[in-house]
Amino acid sequence: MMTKTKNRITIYNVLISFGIIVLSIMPSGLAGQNEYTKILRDTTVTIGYNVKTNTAAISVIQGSDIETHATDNLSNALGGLLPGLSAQQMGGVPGSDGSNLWLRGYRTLSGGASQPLILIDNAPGDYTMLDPNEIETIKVLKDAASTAIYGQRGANGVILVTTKRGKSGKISIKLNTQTGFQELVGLPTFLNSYEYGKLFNEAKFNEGSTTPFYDDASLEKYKDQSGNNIYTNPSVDYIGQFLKSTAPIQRYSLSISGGSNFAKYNIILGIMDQQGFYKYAVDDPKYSTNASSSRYNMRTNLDVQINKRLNILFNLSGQITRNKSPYVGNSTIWSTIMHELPNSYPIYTPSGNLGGTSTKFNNPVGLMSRSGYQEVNNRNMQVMLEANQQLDFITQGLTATLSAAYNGFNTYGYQKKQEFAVYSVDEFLKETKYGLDKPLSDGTDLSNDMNYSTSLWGSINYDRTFGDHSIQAKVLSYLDQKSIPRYSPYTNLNYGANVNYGFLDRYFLGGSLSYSGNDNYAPGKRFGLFYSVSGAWDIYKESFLAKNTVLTELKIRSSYGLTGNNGQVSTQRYLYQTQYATGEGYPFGTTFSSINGTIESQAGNPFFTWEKAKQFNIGIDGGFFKKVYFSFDYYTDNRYDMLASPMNKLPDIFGSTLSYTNIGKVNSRGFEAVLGVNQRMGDFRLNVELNATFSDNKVIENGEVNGLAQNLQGIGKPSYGEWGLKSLGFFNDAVDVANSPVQKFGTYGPGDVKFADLNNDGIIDGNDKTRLGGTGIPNMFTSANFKLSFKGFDFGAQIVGLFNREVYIPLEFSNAIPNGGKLAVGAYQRWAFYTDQNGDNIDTRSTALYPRLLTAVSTNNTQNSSLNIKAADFIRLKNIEIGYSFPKTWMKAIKLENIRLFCNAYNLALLYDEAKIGDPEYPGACIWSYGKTRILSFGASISF
Amino acid sequence: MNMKSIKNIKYLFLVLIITLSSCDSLLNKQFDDTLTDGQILRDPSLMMGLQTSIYNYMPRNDFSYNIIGGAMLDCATDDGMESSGASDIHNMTNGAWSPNKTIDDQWWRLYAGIRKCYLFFKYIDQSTVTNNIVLDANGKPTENSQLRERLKAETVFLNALFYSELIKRYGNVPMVTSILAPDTALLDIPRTPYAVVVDSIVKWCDQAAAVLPNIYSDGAKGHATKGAALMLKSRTLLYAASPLNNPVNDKEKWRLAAEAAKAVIDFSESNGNIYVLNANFATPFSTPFDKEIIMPGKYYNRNDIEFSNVPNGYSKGQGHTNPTQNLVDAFEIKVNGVYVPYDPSNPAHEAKMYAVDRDPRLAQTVLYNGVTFKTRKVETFVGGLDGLNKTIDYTKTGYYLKKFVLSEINLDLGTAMKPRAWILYRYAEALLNYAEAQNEYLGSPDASVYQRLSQVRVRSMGAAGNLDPSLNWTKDQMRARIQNECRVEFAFEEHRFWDVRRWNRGVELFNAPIYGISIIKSGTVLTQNRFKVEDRVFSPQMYFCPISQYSVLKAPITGQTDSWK
Repeated sequence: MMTKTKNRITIYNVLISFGIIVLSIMPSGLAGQNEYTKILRDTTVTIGYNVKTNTAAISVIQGSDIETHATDNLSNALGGLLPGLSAQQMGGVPGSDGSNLWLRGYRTLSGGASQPLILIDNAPGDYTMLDPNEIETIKVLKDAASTAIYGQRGANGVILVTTKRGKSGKISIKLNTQTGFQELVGLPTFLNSYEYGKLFNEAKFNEGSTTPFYDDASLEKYKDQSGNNIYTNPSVDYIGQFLKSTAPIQRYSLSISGGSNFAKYNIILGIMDQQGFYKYAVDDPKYSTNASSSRYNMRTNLDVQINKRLNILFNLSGQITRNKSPYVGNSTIWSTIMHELPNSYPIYTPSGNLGGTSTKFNNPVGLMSRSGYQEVNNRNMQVMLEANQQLDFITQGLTATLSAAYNGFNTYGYQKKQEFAVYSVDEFLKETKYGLDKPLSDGTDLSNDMNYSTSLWGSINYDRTFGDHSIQAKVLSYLDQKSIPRYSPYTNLNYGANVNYGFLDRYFLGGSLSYSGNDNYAPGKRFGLFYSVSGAWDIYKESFLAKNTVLTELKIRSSYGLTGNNGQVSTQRYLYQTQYATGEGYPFGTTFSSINGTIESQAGNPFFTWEKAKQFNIGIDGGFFKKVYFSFDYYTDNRYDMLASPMNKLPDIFGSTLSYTNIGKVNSRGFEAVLGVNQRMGDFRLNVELNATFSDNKVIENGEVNGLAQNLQGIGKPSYGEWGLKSLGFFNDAVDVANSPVQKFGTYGPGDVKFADLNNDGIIDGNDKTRLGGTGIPNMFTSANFKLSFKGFDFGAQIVGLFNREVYIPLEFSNAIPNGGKLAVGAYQRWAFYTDQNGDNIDTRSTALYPRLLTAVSTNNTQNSSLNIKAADFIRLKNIEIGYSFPKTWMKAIKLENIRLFCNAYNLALLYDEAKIGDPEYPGACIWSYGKTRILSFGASISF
Repeated sequence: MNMKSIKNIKYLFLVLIITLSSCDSLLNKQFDDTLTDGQILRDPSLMMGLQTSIYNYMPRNDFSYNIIGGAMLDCATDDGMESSGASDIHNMTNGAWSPNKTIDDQWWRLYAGIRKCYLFFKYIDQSTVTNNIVLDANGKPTENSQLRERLKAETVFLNALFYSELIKRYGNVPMVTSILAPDTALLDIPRTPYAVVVDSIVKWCDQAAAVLPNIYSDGAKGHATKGAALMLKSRTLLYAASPLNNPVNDKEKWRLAAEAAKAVIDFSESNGNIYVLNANFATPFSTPFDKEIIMPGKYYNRNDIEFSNVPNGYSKGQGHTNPTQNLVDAFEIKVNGVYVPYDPSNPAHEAKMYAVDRDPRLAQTVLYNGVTFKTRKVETFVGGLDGLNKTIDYTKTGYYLKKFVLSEINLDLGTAMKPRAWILYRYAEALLNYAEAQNEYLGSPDASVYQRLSQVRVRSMGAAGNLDPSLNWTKDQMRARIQNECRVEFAFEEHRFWDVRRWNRGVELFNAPIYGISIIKSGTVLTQNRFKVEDRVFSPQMYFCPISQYSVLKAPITGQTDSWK
């Protein structure tokens, strides 16, 4: 523990000193334009439904910050750009490689609905499908002051995506092209057949064998792959043979915008194509069997000023995506590459057929090129119409808005199957065929689904300043409905009001109220009241600070409110209602024929309601010298009525089971900090911003049994993480085994994992588990963003650091614990103590990371424990970009507005990696789904 | 645009916004894609299905005869022993039984059954199940006449049955009288005293008996009958009058018990002998809906009884149930044309341990050495094909189970099965219940006691089993004979486990060793020796069953069974 803390302090020192160095080399020069600021200096912010607020905790990302982002999914761009928003990317499947997002840490019970509400132009939708060029801003609403108006959906925070609108003036055309190369990161290094064979012999020896399984002659053949040895004693490098080292990704977009006072338009077209890494995949123009994803985006945003008072907004957008993979699916291919032994079979036989055995038909060449393919096509369309009417003929400052939106999602997938035969090769090079070669079959349906969302909202707004007093008030109502054919739609209905009052433009008071309802609850129990009160003080406008040149900005704000979370998984619908099913029939009569019975498949819970959060926030925003800016926020989030299983608390006389009741309680709190500096010296511009989020939570109630031993209690501990035993290392020898408590998981001996007796009952069993980490959710999420520009050059970098987290390390990274798979280089760190055939003493006891090698699965060693749940803090250079814009004089000559060339890298390098296994964000990606990637890309942006 | 159209637009806006506010009904669930209350009320077969499913919760309807880890409940009495040692039932007899180690805990399942009853009661009266009076050719109501009332009466019976099982095991129990909402505070309630629950059960039985038909047509057999309701009342009152639950020996309770048992007998005899003791003691166990059965459990084609109990020397037999020498000694022996209690110290009796002179029920209950079963003789002598302690699974007592086991079922053909059910009540119990209660109520047994007791004995033993009032036994002597009759008549029918407890003889009979027979064969000579198989543990708290500590933690006010606190 001490070492860890020490390392962390060093990192902070580095970051802080970097900041100090930058600050110190700046002369106290002229204040430049704050082009890079991310904290809004305007005190009044427009958030959802055109609500205005001065008092809330909000952060904003500009579209320009993410325009050149290299991955195909916007969620991967967001983590680290602002405080309070953390992300975890789970894998690299083209078309499904997005990140999970959390605002202000993980604040619900494990398995609860923790995702923030995401709205695009005030309507629910999937922002990950958008082209980055479509985005104007992404606003992140964090505290109750800004989220209370969302009622039952606001507790986890809200992300508002606003798309670009046209501007009046000269027509502007911009063409972006970007080509990138993806490389796989975080892959294990597997041992070849020779190395595997030697260690396999050791494993057999550990199990009591006296003669080696692989004799010296075989081992020599594995080592020397010349002649026919590659057929009789294959040593296949699956990763090298079957995965390409790079795969392309490209993106093009065209934006045309312009307008007049009457109408403004913005047309955006985008194309994205991402290819996969399968070396032997077919690339026939008629079909390809590689993993791939392509997407076409289209958007037209129109603003029409009908008359002086009526303004109409119209958005029409759509996405067409096509995702492909080999017929067997990406997981099977990755699983084969990660698990198949190097010596199972040669890839090709001497006569050029595909290798295999009587039981192994998974030759990756066949899987990638002769098993067929799957294709999923999506067609999505969104329409939005909004009308804003000024009603100042009734009273000045009064306006009304009415808006309707539709978002349709259609998917159709099909697959075509093909089969291939494999041939085994014996020591005489004789080939035996297994299976059949079959041509590509007719397609069969894979999936066929559609759903659509409609939303409707309207509001009446009042915005007026009377001398020293300013008031913005709003009454609104909205309806969101998501319809899935043959199921009841998901409906939210909300009435809200918001008031923002300012005095002397420096004292602000805000309040919002929401009466919000959802269809998931019993009639009469559907609506709830949510509220927030908030205040802010722009201290820097006071007379005593107004002329201060050092402290140029200071604002304090605070809010308190009640928000809700009605997020649900499918098993949590309509839990208030008793549901029945046929079952438990009984055979009456002399022929014993069964008569149908009816059972209560779900006992109704009339008290079923949504999760509630009481949220408090206090923050200070400020700046020095108009160059340095900072922001600190402290928040608490106390939740109750969370869904958890009540069966450990519900007395038995209830007579039935309930999956969920609202008994859970979790308290979270955290701290966000931003520190940044803008500096301009002549042609040199610099922005450095550091931000950090600390968050922590504690379970107050989760429905667990009363009276559990300390180690088994979840109460009082964080709500996330895995459960497992605590590993004490490995048994040294038979004496050690005899002197330690008996372990109840299976047979074990010296070299096997030794666990701690956490409940002190003298035996090691399931009751010795405790909360380990293991979900990858960090307590502390930091990032550093740099932006430099000098004359035509610009440079940007983003470094992200996650601390206080653990991940589950898949066994495959060493496979020192066997599950039929092959050994990786980590296997050398296994426990071993013996003299080998050459008379060398092998003794890894003091440095071993894994137990002794065995060929049979050891239930003792495969128990979830701190052995495979490791601390995995890391710092990653997430983004780095260098660009050059040609001088304006050159542009004028060729009658173009601007040309910028750039190259960037995503996930370039790990600057610090505590676990040193795989990709620390999610090591299991390459084992269980599809490896994660680093992307190097370059491109050009031409404006006409 | 002129002012008028502007005003129109303004009004349009206000109207539209106000319209949004009346969209409350949009939140109503639109599809009934799962069965809901509405459909249950509309569809009579779904409503009846609610009632049908309750039958699955009757005792022993959820599994095989050998329900406790391969053992029958009687292997926790002095009548039997489970052979493999791996079954949980041994914890009931070795002292390990406790709230942290509950065995055959029915607490949860019985309350689940009770909930199903109240669910049915909640909806039946608003449903579309018909309630018309339907008369047959003779003007008598058919079994489907006033169907709603009949189904309600069946449910009342089942609810009473569940409560009787609860108080039998746990003494005072909390009473549920409606569908409960999941409010933990309201679910943790104090226990209702045993006597109060008994009163409710009696009231419910009377209520049900007034409505239930006497018998059902062939297609509906298995539903609860009037006789079943009367029988439940008889057994409940008998248990309530017994010493364990009636420590002051209130004679009135015995009188009520006798009256209730007599009601069953009268009901049968005055309705053309609805119930008849089958001339063959073994037949009711393998003949569905035999006339001796008052209330059966679930019939289905099965061979699990044979798999579990056929002696190990026979193909696929697992021989789990080993009757004890204690039980074998309880069967009477005919001496000079009269059946007398068996005396192990009498060499004349010992010489005829397995002879035809023994009560025929011995051979119908127990497989002993030399008796023919399937194609050969059973060999429990040491070293025999089914020999004593041959391996860990073979008999530990020298005996195997014969009762319930059909030799004609060929275990090598997995498909050979016959329909059997666990029998809840049979007529012999009504007779013995009456004899016991009447004997306890009176100062000394009257003629009716001898008559009813003899009825049971004569069925198996023939005329030699008859007992004449001229024997002039005292109450104590009669009690001893009745208790012994219960033991041999109802062996392995889950009576002994509860009878010994309600007679308050648990420490006397269960905290004592059980014995077996060891037969040494030398040539053709067999030498029999009794030996102690194992010691048994029975401490006073075991008169009732504990509920699990986990359940107690969830409901501290309801708490633990009194004897286990």
